[in-house]
Amino acid sequence: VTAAAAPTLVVPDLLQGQWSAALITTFGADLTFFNAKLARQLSQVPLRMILADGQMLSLRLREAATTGQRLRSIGRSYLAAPVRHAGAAHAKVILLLAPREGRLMVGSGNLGPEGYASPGELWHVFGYHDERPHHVAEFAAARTLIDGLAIRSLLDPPAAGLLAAVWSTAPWLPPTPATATAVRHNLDRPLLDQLADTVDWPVRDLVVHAPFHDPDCAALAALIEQFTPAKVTVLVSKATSIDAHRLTTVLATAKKSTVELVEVTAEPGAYLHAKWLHLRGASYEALLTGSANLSRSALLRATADGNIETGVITTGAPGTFTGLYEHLRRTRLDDLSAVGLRLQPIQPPPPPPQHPVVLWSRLDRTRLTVMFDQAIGTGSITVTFAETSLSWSAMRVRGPAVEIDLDDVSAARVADGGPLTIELDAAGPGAQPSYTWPYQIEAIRHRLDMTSQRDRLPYIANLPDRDADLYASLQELEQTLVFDPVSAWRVARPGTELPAPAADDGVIGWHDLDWDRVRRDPRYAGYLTPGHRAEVSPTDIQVILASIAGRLSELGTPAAADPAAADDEDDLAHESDTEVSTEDEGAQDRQDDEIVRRALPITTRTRMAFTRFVKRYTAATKDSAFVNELGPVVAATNAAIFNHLLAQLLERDIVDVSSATNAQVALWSLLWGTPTAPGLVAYVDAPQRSTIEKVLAEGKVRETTLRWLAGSGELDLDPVSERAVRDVARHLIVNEDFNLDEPLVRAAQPNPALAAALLGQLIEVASASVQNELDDLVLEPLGLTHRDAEWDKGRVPRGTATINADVLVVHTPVARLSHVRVRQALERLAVASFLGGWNIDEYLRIRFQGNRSDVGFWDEQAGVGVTLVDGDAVDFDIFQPPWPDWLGRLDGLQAVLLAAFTTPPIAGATRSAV
Amino acid sequence: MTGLGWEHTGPIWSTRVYAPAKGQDHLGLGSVSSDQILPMLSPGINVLTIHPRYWSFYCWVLDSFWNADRPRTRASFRDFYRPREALFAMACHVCDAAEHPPAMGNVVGSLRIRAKAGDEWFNPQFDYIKEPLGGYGLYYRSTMEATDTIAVANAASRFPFDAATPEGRALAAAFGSAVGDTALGARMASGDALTETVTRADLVAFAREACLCQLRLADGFDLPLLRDLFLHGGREQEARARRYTLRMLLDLSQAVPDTAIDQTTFRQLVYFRTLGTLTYQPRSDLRDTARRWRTYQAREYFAFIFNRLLGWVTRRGLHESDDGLFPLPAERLRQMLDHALDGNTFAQDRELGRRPVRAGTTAADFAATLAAEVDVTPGVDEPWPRHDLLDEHALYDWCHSQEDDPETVVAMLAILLLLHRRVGSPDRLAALAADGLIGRGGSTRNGMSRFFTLLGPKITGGATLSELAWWLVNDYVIVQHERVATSKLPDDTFRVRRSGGEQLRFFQQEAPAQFADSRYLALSTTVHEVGLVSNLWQPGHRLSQAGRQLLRDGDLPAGALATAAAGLQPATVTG
Repeated sequence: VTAAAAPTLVVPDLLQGQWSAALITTFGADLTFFNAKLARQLSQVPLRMILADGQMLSLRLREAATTGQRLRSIGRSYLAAPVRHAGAAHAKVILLLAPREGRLMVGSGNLGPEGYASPGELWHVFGYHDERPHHVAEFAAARTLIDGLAIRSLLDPPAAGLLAAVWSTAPWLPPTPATATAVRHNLDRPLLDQLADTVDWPVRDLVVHAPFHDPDCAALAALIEQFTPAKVTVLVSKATSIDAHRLTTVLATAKKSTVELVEVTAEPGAYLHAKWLHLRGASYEALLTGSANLSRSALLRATADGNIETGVITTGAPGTFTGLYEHLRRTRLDDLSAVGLRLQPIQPPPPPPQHPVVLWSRLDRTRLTVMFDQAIGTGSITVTFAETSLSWSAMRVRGPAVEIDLDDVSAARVADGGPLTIELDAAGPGAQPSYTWPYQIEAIRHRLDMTSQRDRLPYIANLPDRDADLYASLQELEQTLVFDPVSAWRVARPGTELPAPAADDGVIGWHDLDWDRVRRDPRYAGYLTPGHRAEVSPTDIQVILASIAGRLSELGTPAAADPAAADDEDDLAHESDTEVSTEDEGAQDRQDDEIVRRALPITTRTRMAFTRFVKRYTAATKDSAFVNELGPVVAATNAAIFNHLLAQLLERDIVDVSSATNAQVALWSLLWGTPTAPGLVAYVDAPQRSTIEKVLAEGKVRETTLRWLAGSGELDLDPVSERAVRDVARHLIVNEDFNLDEPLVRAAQPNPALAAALLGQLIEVASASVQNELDDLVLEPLGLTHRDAEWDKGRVPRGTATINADVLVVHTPVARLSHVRVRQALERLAVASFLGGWNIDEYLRIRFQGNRSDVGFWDEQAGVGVTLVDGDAVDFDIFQPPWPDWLGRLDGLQAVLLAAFTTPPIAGATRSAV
Repeated sequence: MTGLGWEHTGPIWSTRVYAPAKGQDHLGLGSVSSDQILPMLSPGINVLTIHPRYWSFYCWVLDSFWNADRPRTRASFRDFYRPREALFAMACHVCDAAEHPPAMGNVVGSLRIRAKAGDEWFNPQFDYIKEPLGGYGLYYRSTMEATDTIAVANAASRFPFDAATPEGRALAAAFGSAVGDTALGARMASGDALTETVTRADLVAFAREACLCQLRLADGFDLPLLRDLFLHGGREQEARARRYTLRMLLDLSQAVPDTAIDQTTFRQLVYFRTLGTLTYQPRSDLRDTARRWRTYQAREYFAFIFNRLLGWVTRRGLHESDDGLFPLPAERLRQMLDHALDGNTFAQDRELGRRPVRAGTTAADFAATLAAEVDVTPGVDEPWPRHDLLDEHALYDWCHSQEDDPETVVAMLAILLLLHRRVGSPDRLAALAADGLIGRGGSTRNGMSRFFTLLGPKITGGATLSELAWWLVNDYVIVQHERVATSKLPDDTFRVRRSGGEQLRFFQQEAPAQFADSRYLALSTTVHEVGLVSNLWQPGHRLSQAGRQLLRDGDLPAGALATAAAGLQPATVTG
């Protein structure tokens, strides 16, 4: 194990992954935080266990119960179990396990916003994968800690019993480490002894920091005595709990010492909760970090008479740990009183009640078992849930255990989650009730059975509102779809580092991919599983497609509320939008700001994540060789999913507009081709075509495409994207495989008037052109470009009058100019005028200034035109502009729809936009 | 190969994950009033929908939009809408009608338009407000939908953009008739892009017909329709609740005809029903509505206690912890509360007698002392006598600054104990239980019935003020704030947070304590502008004939809106 200067880490981000078990040990447990933030993030992890200090957890749960917090997920979708130890159960470990991989974090942070989401905590992170197993010993060491708690009967039996299920999800994880490990705990030996074993060289410098010291600084004294360093540096912050007088006394025993004030450079007010011992020698350095404060119980004792602590002992050459201090600002303290150092008093735990108290409870179907800390004698108990007593048919008292056979209704209420209030009838007045969240082991195990099913996929058709939920949805999509080189690599070689991008655009290479392996993977196979059978679980891809098609019920998947649902606490995030006072000056503007700000549906970070996701899809979709490897059905299925996803993302402003547009254009081109290349739908064989058509139909891909294209005029597109959308629109309107017809338009917009309006919008989108393009349209058949002409406004004769007219003046001579070519140029000019919305259709005129006096005009009202070439004038009355075929198709469709229109959908909302 | 957890395993510093944010309602209590109680009392009128004529104006703009030859898109509507609302806002600023108040408030866009009010020319493309759809998008759209005047575009309706319902079109037509003869009105009704500047004279001519102040005179146009809408629009149950509240306002105004009723006065009137020597005794058919409003204001005093204590704890905590630089032991905060209780001059300041209020004073004793001064015996439907120094409003008035002195802690306890006697004792809770308002908030947002049910045994059990204060601060301020702030993550709105169980961390953020808006401004403006009463904010307010009829008969004839809608020509399509 080595260490190096590293960037900071975000604990919640490191929890992401396709884990089968998540196990957290902590001293304090902020379960509100876990419920609100992490439980959602880990929603797809079947086994989630929090092992917290028994005293702290008990206080927290009592507080939750008495302040009306239901926390209904505890016990039924995750466990929050106490570590019942006489000292502090202080270890801070996050262990994430999957069948072939794992992630382990050992550090100083407790479960909560302070420990997991603030600066000032220090962590070590270890990864494991079957193909990169070199940290397995660290994982095994963490396992010995957890198993050790169970062996010492420090866990409630239901929680201990579940550990076997946790380990079974990671068959690679041995019960004990086979080699030396950096991860240590003090179940058997004090951490100081283990550190001393490692440091067998003379210590020059000892640098220590911990937020809590013994009242008599005994641990620091022991360190000095053990290592006899040439110099001791004690780092303190303003929050350090330490007796300054005792510190001075202890440091007097060192050969040389200093005290330094230390702060997080970027955030001086941050609470520095990290703990470390840093020993420097001539040739080596050693570092102990982790949970242990500078106290006897933490450092000098094993668990039997001390705390439960974990740490990481690392060694290296001089300078190895320099990076540790790069985030800190250190100031020498000559006067300890200057920063007000003081020993923070620790409140003794309240004395235990004189009567039996509940340790834990367990619900198995209708049987509720309540375990007291002592036998309750012959007394009875009252169990209430949400202030209503439960009813039961039988109650049996077996020493400290009470077994209650609940009736079905009561059992169902308890199973719904939340605290039970248990009162011992014989406890007497003034007795404290006990509060307990029953372990529902069966429900937890059931989650494991459902491990292959992702919670959010059924709701992809309608993305959630909350940022965290959106992010979780993105993660599930990442873990489900095989759509680009990154996702293919993860399927083929999970756990390995992705290859470096092969190009400046960040696209990684994929040519070394083992495609056979990709195709064998269940994720890939999920794309190709034909039709769903009731007795077989649907694949994740089938779930997504059914969600988009609104046919989840056919899969037996309930289309009910969001699975991340909604503890009662969720509602607390809501702030009233409208009830701020308007009485003072300027309040309105503040409201404007506030409401507009809150209207932003997601954070920038989520938006960026989705944008990256979309860009990867675009790049892969444009890579025809990659698409060939992926196969047409998989590619088309991805297209159907992304088509729907992109429309939603754009509508909700969750993705960069240009990126989404590029992706849409790429996927439409993939499906239906371009004017110069056929699409997937055109070139696959008949069985594949049938499968693809079914996917496109169920995903309503054509309808979504049509609506998106028509609505794209509203988007603030850059010119390149606008042109790309226009070109693809023109192509799709007449593409036989896309098959734009009346049923499709009606399917996209059932209201006839609005369907006609939709076509009007589509005309606008397909018409969008810039001046130069349109000039080129007129001039290119003459061998010219827009640079060869300019527009002039002048008075010209029209019939017997003279009018002001816009005239296209061609200043470059045109070779072989003829009457026919002039007339055709005028006809093209009519088209350009329409497309450009120039409103000059009534009178079109081109003057060929480079050909002396040659000119041509068409008077729409009179129905006549004249071409004058080489002094020869020819009249004509047949004028046939080469209208684009896409325009003809849209005109025809619009006429059909308007003819069909009879009843307005709502008064006043009925005029066509065309 | 490199990567965290593989070659690089640490140690690695954690970083801040959530960015600090200002937020509001940090105990989640304000939402109970604004989102649960007030919508039951005045559905369809909220604090931001001040002027009823905006219903007409926005319907008119929507209808004009649909009649114009334009794409049916949000962007197209935005371009159509913004110059029209800018012109309307400007017109409301240059209006010279006799009825126009000297300072008409809450005209959408005022903040930017105000500076233009003296100009001779106005550019309709002026960027008058940040929100793309101005006051319609920000304030009125939801209530217009609730009162069935617009159909909102959404996935279900498949409308590309909002459209007026037949009732909305009737309003639009009536407003259009009112302004149709003005040059500017005609231009605005057309599909004109309104890119050219408009003269002040045109604006003034338009304002004389269109201004918000002119609704009261629009008998031949939109006034009867809006009156019908506010008394009967939307779902029957909601219309009834709104109608009864508007009637209660009229009723209440007659109790103090010569008193200007601002929001503060309104709060005291609905809560105490006494003002000086005047007493408000609701009509018998308005008893339930008046009782609901009393419960609403009780909730406001109740929420104020906890929000004020949050401010006290936060600011004092920041002071003690060197602006949050180090954590403070929870025990230290408890000592601070006890010191405040032991060192206060509340009894002296509030003329409560010679016996001081101290940390060891029992809550029961303090409650009895207060009750000896403040008469809390009248029932939930009777007027409650005032006390200049000690009743709930007097104490609120005394403490709603940010001066975190010891007396504030005592005052908050005093308000709580008074509220307990007035609405929280078992018999009062039973009396108020019928409509459910007293329980609103439940266990997540500190419902009053749940709280007072827990408080009662503490008082009778001999809890001291020290114990009571710590219970409030710990369970209902700190824990509650943590719950609310945690639920708002990733916006970090923490003001105070426990760390390691016994330490408190304080964060440099504001912790204001104020009442949620009672909607009184919107309600009083509505009853005034739909011609039921003169301006309640001025003394000498009188009911109009229609107002008297509404109060006396319980309702005015319904159907004006439906009749007008039925008389409209069906819409037709042009290609």
